[in-house]
Amino acid sequence: MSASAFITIDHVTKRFGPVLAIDDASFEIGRGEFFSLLGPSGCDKTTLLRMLAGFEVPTVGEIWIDGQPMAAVPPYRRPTNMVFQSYAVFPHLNVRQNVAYGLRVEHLTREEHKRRVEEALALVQLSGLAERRPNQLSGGQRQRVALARALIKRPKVLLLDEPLAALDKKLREEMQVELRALQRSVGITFVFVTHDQEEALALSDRVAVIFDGHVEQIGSPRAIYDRPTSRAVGAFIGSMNFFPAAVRGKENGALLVDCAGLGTLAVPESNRHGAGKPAMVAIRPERLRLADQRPSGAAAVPVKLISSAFLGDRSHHLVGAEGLPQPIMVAAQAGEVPPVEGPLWLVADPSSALLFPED
Amino acid sequence: MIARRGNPWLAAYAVSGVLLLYAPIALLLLFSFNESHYLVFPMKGLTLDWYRRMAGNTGLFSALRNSLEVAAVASIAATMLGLLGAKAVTRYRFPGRAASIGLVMAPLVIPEIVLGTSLLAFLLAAGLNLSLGTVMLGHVLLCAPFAFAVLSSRFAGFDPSLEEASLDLGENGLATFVRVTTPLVLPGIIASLLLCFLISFDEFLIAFFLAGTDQTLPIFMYSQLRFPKKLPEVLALGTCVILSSIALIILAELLRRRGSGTEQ
Repeated sequence: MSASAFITIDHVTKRFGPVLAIDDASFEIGRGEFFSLLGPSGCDKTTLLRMLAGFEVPTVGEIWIDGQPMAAVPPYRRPTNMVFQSYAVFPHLNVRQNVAYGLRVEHLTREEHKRRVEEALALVQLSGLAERRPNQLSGGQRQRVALARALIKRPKVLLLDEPLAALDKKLREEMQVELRALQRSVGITFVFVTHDQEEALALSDRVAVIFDGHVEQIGSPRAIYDRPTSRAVGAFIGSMNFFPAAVRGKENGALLVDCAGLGTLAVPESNRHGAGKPAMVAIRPERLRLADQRPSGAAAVPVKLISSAFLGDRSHHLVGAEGLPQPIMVAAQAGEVPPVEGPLWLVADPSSALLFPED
Repeated sequence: MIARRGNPWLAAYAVSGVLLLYAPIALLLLFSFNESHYLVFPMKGLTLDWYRRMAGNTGLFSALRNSLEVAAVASIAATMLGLLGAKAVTRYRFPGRAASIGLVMAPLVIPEIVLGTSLLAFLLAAGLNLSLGTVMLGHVLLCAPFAFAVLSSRFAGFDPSLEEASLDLGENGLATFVRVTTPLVLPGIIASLLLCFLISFDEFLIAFFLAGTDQTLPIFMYSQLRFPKKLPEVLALGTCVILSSIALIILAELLRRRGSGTEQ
């Protein structure tokens, strides 16, 4: 365990009967970190979160929070609080009673109790709605109640289980900004479960990508996006073009790769991932460029435009290259509309190309 | 709008069905005000005499008190058992769960006469004296499946993360049960109490087998039928019982609806 580790997940495995939910996970989360568990829909990420909260017990392994082993600690004695996916706002209590729910066991004086409740309500901007019943609130307001109810406990760790999934896009983006600002202001460690990769990238200090109960990669959003260490992570985060490829040789610390549809690229050796022979080149759509004249000094291949999608701030073009069955996606700034008629050249940035072995 | 126009035959059929069901009860109500002892038309005239006589019948009131006592104890005990059982089968997965549900619900399909006979044989073999206590025991058995069914649907209808949220916020299992579970299933608890109370209150067979010398109200009413002169008095009593039953059922239904209305 390193000195900076605030939460340590030490070889944790969780089985539900024959189902393996979490497969030997080991990682650490730092104090005050905004840490996301990201993966496609499935119960594995939530299971990990529920083990932190104490609702599930690891089949194997140990979880430490702030230096304490959690195995024998029931949920009601853990220094964690949770924002549930369904919010779990108590329907029989009003907003104020919901927010104050967890204070009973803290045995505060009446003034202190009142002050803490007002503070928590103000923190999530619900002061004006304190007497409302949950069924009179919108989804976003209910979520704020759930947040305030957890934060009023001043937990060491706040656990959030897909808290934004039920909100519409606009509100979700607003809440993302608020959540991030909130985390900075309270300074609490946040562990955030989501299946939305954009959300994870936008909010987190670090992200753990989890597939089928297995932790695939942990890193900063930028590292996860720019340097995925496996083909699966690259395909899951953002858009990615894949080209069958074969290494031909080495030159100045770069691998010369014959790449179907892209010609020969000189890929830095550090971009090579995974054990086994590289057989796949991956390039992000924004690392590809279309030109209407053959550029000098860069490797370029002739392509045909298949279709274009205008997305406002940018456009996605699908182009076809000889020797490649599937179309290639190219992201371009808005306004850069390629001519539909006439020849087009596809230029790749080899320094951002990644090499993976065959699956 | 085909449904709006309606079929006159269908309407007539429906009305006659309802009449057939409720005419006997209407007759009971009607003849409880009849001046004569005999249930024949034309009626002799209206009177409140039978109600007055009923009010002066001490045997009736002791039977009524017995029935209220049995129904109160049986409904509370059955509801408590139902509450625990419903919580168990809706919140936990355990071996024998399906079998447990089957066993709790079994008294619904076992003929009461069989239930009564076997309970009688068992209690006598166990050396217990028949009393109101043994009737209560039998009624708990009979009411438990109803309490269990009402409360299970109530438990199934609310999000288990509400209970987890309470644990997460520092309340232990017992405090969570008091602060979250109970208020949320309260409408179900009240509905179950009312339902079990009514079932126990007008139950005849098991009470007849297990009552010993104490009479419950249904047994008392049955015994009165042996005297033709007492018949109108029984009709008056029956009318009172029916009206209070209807009031209770309506109350239970209102509570159930109000409860489910607050769900998110």
